[in-house]
Amino acid sequence: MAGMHPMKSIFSSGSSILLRLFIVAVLSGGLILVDKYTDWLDPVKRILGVTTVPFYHLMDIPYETAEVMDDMLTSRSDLIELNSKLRSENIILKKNMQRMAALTAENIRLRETLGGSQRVDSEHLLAEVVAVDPDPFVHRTVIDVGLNDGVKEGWPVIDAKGLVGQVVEAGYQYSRVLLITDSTHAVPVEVNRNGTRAIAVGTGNLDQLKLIYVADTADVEEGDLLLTSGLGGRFPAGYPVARVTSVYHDPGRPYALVKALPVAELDRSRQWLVLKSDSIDYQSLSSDVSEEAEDE
Amino acid sequence: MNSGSKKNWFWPFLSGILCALLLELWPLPDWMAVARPEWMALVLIFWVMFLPYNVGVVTCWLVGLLVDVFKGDYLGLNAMKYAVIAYLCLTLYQRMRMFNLLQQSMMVFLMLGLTKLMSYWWQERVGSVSDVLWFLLPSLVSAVLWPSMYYMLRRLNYRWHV
Repeated sequence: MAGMHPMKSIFSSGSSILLRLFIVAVLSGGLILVDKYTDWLDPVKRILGVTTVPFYHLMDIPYETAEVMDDMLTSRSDLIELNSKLRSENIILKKNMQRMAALTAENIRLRETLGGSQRVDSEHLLAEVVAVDPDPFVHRTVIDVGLNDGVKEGWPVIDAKGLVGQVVEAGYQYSRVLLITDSTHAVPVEVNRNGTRAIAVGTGNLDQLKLIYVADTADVEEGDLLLTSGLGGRFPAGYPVARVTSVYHDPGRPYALVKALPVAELDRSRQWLVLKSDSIDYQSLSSDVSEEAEDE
Repeated sequence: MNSGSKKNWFWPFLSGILCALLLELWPLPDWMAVARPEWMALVLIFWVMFLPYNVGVVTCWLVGLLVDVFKGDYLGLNAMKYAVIAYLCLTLYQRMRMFNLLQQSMMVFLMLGLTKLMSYWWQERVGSVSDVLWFLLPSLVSAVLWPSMYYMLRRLNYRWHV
């Protein structure tokens, strides 16, 4: 019993504490590197991650109660107003959908005549944001769908307005989403107006993305809408990402400085969609095309 | 404060850890989150000072692994930080107990700042970091909070006869 002989333990414990520190420091260093460069630790993290579930429920309580109170206390006139607003919005959306069907059909026909591959609408999962990363410099959130719902790492996440980010860690019941504004995130985009390609990189600032490697002469203007280009194969093409807010040509720099504002409501919306990315089968699409080419 | 080995310390310790974990993860607006105190580190420093024979490097390391899982950081990042804090505390606790609260706060600031720099270096190796000095703000806020934290935990411990 160390406690029974305090004097003795003062002198004997010093080196053993240092030894312990050394061992755990080497262990942690190893763990960090293994976790960073391999996926060996993923199953362990998944199992440990199960313990986080009750915490997320606990942290969600204030919001849930606020929502319930809000539901109970909404006045009749508010509801009527909301109802009429939604109804008119619905009519507009339906009108757009009518044209959408015709346009999709036309698009497919045109692509067939050109012998190009078809774009496939991807399936989706509805997800709710349950937690935000406690570090304000890291833009990551936790959503309430996970492996049990079929979520896989790398699947894109969108909200009603545009691209939000991608799943970077899938637990059993929850997964972590890296937002497009995180400084480690990049997404290939194209300018909707003319198809100019670029890469939109997060800045660590929730209302700013920057485009890198944009040539000084490239046709990018303020107000341009940036869509995912589908290059790289991670994000399906055609989802809105951001709107260009400023273009600055500095003669001293090799590329133009382009900043953009994400169109998705990254810090406000709670309902997100996870796109089932492997329902877009790039492999079979490209093999179809090559088979067609061989037939000819 | 007693330096002997204790028996009924575990549940108070565990509840302290869980509360700190909740506070570490509680969603805050951005301007507050930059200054979020390092609750877990404060609780650990208190317990290492209070019961150096029960709570040591390995315990703190395990708690750090738990925090890593909860925060979704690379496994080992917070673990290493808390292990170093525990080591510093174990070598300094006899001195710290003699200090008044202001001096203790300064020690806490030094310990947290130092380990923060260390984990910042690791974060820079394996990922990305913010490019501003704001990351030292939590250490400062924690040091300011230390006296009240210390009083509260000690009172609770007396009440629970730890």
